[in-house]
Amino acid sequence: MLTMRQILDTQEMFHEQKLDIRTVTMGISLLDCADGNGSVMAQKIYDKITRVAARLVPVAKEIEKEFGIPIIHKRISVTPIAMLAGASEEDVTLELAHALDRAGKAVGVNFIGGFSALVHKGMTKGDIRLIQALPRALAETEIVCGSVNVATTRAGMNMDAIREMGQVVKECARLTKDRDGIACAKLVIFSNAVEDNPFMAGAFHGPGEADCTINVGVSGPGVVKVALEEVRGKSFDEVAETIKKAAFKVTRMGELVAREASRRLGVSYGIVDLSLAPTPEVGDSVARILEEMGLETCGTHGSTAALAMLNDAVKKGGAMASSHVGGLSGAFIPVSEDEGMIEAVEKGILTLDKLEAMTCVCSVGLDMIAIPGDTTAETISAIIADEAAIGMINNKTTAVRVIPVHGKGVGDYVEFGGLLGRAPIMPVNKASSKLFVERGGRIPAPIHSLRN
Amino acid sequence: MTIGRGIGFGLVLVLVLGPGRIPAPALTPSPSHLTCLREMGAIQLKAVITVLGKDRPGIIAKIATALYEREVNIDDISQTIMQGLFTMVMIVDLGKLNTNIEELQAKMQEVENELGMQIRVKREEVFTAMHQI
Repeated sequence: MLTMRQILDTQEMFHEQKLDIRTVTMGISLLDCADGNGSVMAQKIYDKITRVAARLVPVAKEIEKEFGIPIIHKRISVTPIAMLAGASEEDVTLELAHALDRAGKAVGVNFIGGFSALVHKGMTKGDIRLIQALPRALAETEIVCGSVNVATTRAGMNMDAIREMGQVVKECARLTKDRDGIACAKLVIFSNAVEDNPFMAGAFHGPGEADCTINVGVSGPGVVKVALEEVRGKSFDEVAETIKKAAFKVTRMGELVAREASRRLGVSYGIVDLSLAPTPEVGDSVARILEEMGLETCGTHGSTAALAMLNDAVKKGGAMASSHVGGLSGAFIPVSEDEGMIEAVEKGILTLDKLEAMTCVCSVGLDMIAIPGDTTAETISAIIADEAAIGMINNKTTAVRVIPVHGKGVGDYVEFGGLLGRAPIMPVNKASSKLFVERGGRIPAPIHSLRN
Repeated sequence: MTIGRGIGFGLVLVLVLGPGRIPAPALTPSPSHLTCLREMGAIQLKAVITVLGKDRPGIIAKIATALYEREVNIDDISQTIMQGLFTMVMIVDLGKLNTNIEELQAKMQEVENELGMQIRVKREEVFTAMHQI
């Protein structure tokens, strides 16, 4: 029997502590849309998405209303387009991006992910076409998100692809210089990318997935922060326990929504991603959770340990609350999307180097970081390489989503608006990594990849 | 798919699943299972209504009337004053609801505006999922 306290606690979580379902993402396989004729392929893609996802947004809204659980985003992830892009004789990759954009808008989702390539070991014709098309695709479309996986623990790091991606990021920034490089905010470069991630911009529907599936991403930094306010001054044993309990409750909501959405849509239930995803709103920040643990400002000494414990406790609590946990499942530390992180950067306490260290213990990587517009492509490639190495060696997902903002430097700001937030431009190391990046080739997989 | 798995001292757990994956820990029944149970009447469609605000005469009367008109039965009701605020929680049975939950929510919104209180209607599963294993 529910008690009055439990009922009021739950209401408070939704209405005061900003608990919400961040995203209901429908994964759709497009493998059956491959066609030798490019235009036919684009049409098949459009038709399949608009057919399969026709009811996604209405059903999500219905659940939102009926259960009283806010569902912020309804999104689609598709098969990495590079897997189809090589099928046609003529290169229609850009046209495929536009088909995705039109289809996503037609069904009313706010992002469609999967303009992606998996090139951790090498590149196919489709991969090459996709990477070449990426800057224009992200600049010319509105809701298409792209990602490229450049490393895995099993395969090592593709340094040719990493070199290429530095150039791609620069080109994305150049093509959208009038919009503060927004194309870069829609591009994620991964190490150990996961196939069932519901969060953007890195979502794609992996080749090991079912034809259509529902993945749900939860949120809830505010719930964890408020729960920790109750144990101020107590030992970490109590802090960990408190986070676990809060994460359990948050994840149960994700599980409920995932099951209900998949049942109503008649598609398989994939996973619940139990990441703590912040927003720029006050009271929805991961940085503030770390500060609640006793750090004056996020980014100071102790931040990595605090984040490690937070991330682990969230997983432990969440894993018990859902029968299929997957995706990225860890705390996110994007800069522009977290008001606490923004403030920490403004104070000069949180630096790029500290953020890199923090990515060793959480999901997902250097995320939504604005850097000076004159940062070279080689430096960006080297940033990607560092992050990919952390992922490869630690057998975890890491990623880079940096925005070299054209014409802006340290001290300036960039405003993306909405959930992407605003960010102060952060300094990068000035010493060159050019010769390192130019070597190319592959960094071999680490010894612990030999597990069989 | 049938999986027989030994745990402990000869205790065998047999899970009978539809076509699908082997779940990590099977904590909740499948949605189709829930639907079947609901159709059989074993699980009822219930909602929780919470009311918060400044106490005044007629709160319960107004809400109860609206529920009665929609053939919604009140299973449980409790009220208290918390931090000076009138707080009421109702568990209601929507099994015979003669409209739909959206219309009920809209009506409660109307009552909310009229009384100047905060009234929220949510499916009971939201609360049980969060607080009961």
